[in-house]
Amino acid sequence: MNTPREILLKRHRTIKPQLERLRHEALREVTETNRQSAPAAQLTLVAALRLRWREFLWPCPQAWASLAAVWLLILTINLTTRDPQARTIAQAAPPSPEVRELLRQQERLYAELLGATPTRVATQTKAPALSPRSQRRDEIAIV
Amino acid sequence: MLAVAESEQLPVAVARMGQPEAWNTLFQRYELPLYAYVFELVRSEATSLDIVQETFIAAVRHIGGLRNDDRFGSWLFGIAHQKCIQHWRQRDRELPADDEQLAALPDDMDNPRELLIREEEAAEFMQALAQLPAPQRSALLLHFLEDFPLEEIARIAGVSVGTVKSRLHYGKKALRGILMERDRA
Repeated sequence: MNTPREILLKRHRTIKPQLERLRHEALREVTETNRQSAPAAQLTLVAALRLRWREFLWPCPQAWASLAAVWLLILTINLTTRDPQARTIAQAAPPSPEVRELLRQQERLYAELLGATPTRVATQTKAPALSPRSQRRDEIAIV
Repeated sequence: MLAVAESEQLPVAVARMGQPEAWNTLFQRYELPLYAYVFELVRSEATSLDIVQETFIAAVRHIGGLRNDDRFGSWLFGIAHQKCIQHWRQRDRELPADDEQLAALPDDMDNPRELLIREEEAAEFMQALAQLPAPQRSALLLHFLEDFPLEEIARIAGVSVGTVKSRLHYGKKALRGILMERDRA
């Protein structure tokens, strides 16, 4: 007893030598295609990388997509619910012209008190002496 | 149900990278079933050999288009099927449509290995198969040769699953009828 497949293949068994010849011709096409394709080694490397990437992702593309979606959701929530106070401070950062003028006046006053053109170094060295913190330190020292 | 091709480990991924040994393995695996399929449709040895060769060359050139390596077999048969249709069109012969009835049909996807034919009935089986309309013959051949599932046969033939069901059902019925008639005679 035979299956239909066995009968069909047995019926055409005699064609095998021609099929073998045909196969060798088709294999020549494989070599030809390899030769024609751009730098073979590079292509193989790219193909191998693509293959590895596919093997890595293919088993569970839905899981990867879900993971990406969850990350996007987290990012969106994070952006929308960011601390509003921090945002206000960031928005109010540039000083107004009045404040700038006040600062300039203070600078000029310092220069007059010191009797010299204020340099950055000078201000930096003198400033701690005038600050309330240093006074506090003095008080502590006295006590 | 796994198709014959799907139950095997075929070096499709390696063939994709242009390895001749892998292609040799694939060609060796499919050359005879593919030839049998094509021959039973076009009924000419020279044309069948040409179509098988063209199919192999097309497979080498277009392997990049194959999305799922497990479907290499049905993809290859799909190329061959298209070549058969082209051949028929060149001869001004459209693939004759059979009288398809898409009513609710039983699933005729029983295991093709369960249908056993005696050695002395083999010639009669082949003759009976040849008498079937081409679309039914094509569906039955894909079912018998590679045990492809309904969806794969539908993809190869470019028809709906319902149409494949119908073709298999009526094809098997006709085949049984022809064989029984011969038995009686």
